[in-house]
Amino acid sequence: MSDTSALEYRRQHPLALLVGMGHRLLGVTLIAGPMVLLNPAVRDVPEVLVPSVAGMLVLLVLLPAGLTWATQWFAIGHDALVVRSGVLFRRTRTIPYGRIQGINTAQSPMQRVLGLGSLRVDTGQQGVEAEAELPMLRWSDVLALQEELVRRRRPVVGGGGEAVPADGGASVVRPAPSGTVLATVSDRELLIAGATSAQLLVALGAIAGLVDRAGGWARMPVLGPLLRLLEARAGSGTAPDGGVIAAVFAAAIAGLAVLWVVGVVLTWARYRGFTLRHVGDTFVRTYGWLNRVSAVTPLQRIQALSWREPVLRRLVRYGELRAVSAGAMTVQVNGNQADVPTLVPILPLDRAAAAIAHVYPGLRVDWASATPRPDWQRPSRRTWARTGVAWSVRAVLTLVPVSFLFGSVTWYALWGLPLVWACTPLASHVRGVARDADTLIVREGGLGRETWVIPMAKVQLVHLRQGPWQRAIGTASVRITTAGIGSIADVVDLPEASARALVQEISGWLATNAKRG
Amino acid sequence: MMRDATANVEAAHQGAIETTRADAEAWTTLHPAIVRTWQTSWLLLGVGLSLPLLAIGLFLMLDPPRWWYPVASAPAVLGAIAAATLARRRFGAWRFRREDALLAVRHGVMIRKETVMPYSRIQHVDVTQGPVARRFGLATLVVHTASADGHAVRIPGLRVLDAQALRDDLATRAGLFDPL
Repeated sequence: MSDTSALEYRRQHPLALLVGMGHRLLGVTLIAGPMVLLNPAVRDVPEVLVPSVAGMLVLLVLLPAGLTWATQWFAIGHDALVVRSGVLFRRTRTIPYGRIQGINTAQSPMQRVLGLGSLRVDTGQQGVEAEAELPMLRWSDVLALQEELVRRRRPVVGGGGEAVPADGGASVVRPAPSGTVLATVSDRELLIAGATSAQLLVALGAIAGLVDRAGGWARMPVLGPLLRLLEARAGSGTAPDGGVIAAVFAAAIAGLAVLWVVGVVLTWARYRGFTLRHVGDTFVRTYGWLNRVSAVTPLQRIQALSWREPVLRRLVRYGELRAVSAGAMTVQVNGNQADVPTLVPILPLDRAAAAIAHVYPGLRVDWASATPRPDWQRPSRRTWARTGVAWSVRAVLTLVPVSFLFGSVTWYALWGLPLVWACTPLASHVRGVARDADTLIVREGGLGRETWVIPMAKVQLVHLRQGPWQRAIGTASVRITTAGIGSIADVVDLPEASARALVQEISGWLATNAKRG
Repeated sequence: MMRDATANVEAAHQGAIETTRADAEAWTTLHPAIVRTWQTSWLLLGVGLSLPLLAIGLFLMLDPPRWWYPVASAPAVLGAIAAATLARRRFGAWRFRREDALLAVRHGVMIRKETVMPYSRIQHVDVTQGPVARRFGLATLVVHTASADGHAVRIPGLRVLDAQALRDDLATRAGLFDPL
């Protein structure tokens, strides 16, 4: 490692001192202000308070902000980024450029006014030490630094760490000299994304639950008397207890509608102007209306791609493209941590297919078809009964806590089970696996679905799992994992011979190709 | 008497490991002493759970209900049943094999699991030893990867020297000893 004493250390922008003080002052005022103002004794002796308020400001605002600012340093070393921080416990972190998983910048409206911005370097470790932050720098410096880090980042020679095989990323596209726009997201698509978020399903379920319990509420032990009391207070002696209940429903539904609209607006404000570009050997995402974010992920660090189609988005023929890497994919905005969208928050199928084809150019997959490849393997038909039982068990387990909330009437939902069983062939129709040269394609799901594109070179572990029932009907499940966060692809209930062949195939490929250089 | 039996099994096992070294394709089983290790730990666990419950009934409760003592002794009984029936079958189901480029592990009585781990994915290798295993001279080898499910491959029931040898072998195959 380079000699740290010879490094030229740089500090945060002096304005960071002011911003830090502002933050702390706001905090102190919010907590101490009401306490002082609400105390009647204070008004009589204001002179006495002046020195103590001044002392408090120095102790809680000036000193911590100044010390924090004075002890934060960073330096661009020969082969590593060095970051120093900590007031009492000093910490010096050395991040080799080759280990960097992502370089994300963000600028909040306040920072835009001041001409500042923040930078976060993601190292792919999990836990507290995962990221190094440089929260307040001049915006031009942030951009220059981001460029500099991207330029200096190169693979560590001699292995270790993430164990990239000699031909790691062989299936990944070669660097493009100048940036290529891979995908943009329009305002209309962002509104669709917000409107079809998963929370809507939960909200609909809650409304259905409320409507379901309409008649029963007045008879319930606690809620019934409460509602009658509410009714008496409302003074409408003429209406039977339906009046208040209807009002409660109307309020609940209106509240949910407002939440839904707010969700749509927030999604739009967060991702406004989303652009995914391919620059050099990195992916660059820029987006944001209030907070402007630019996130750089090295292509080589991408472990797997996933094309997700949750139920609601699948209905409107949209989905979400995710690229998982070992990094946590977060960015620092105004002292808050925000997730960086995995890749593209919402896309129609054809543009997603084009983006995937750009990352893995050789891949021949028919994304629109239920059989994406000619060699597509589906779960065995013998598993329909097993899927049906598994779904029934899950339905009953879900209904037990729900029935405590909404009463025993919920159990009538069990009459829907035959419908669930009728749907089980759907699950085996959706799921499956295929191999295209050096890449695995795995599809999971039922009503919604998720398709993984996993280069063999990134596979970490392969598990084959066979329960007693699977043994009896001759099936087995295979799980394929990479180092990417959340990249666990399950191929459920293949015929046993196919499952073993799949494991053999992957291990054979790894045996010949994945020797460490 | 028991010591002799253990010694015999050990001699047989020694042979097994030798043939394994000659033929890298053959499956290796665990050391048979793992059966006693599991039995001892399950019994200890059961008794350790039951004793305080029984003591509460005897000394702290004025009039324990009739079902107290059967329920309190259930962990010990379950531990004994598991030790009597499960340990041997579990030993029988456990095996691992070193191939050219990967480590394969099979285990599980009810739910069978097979894991394939390429050497090139190994991040680090640990040898751990619990108090009961130490009594029987056994150790557990834990092989870590960067896998997203946080799964580490654990091979229990290796004699300490074998575990250390296997650790060094895996580390060498993984290239962890390569000079930078």
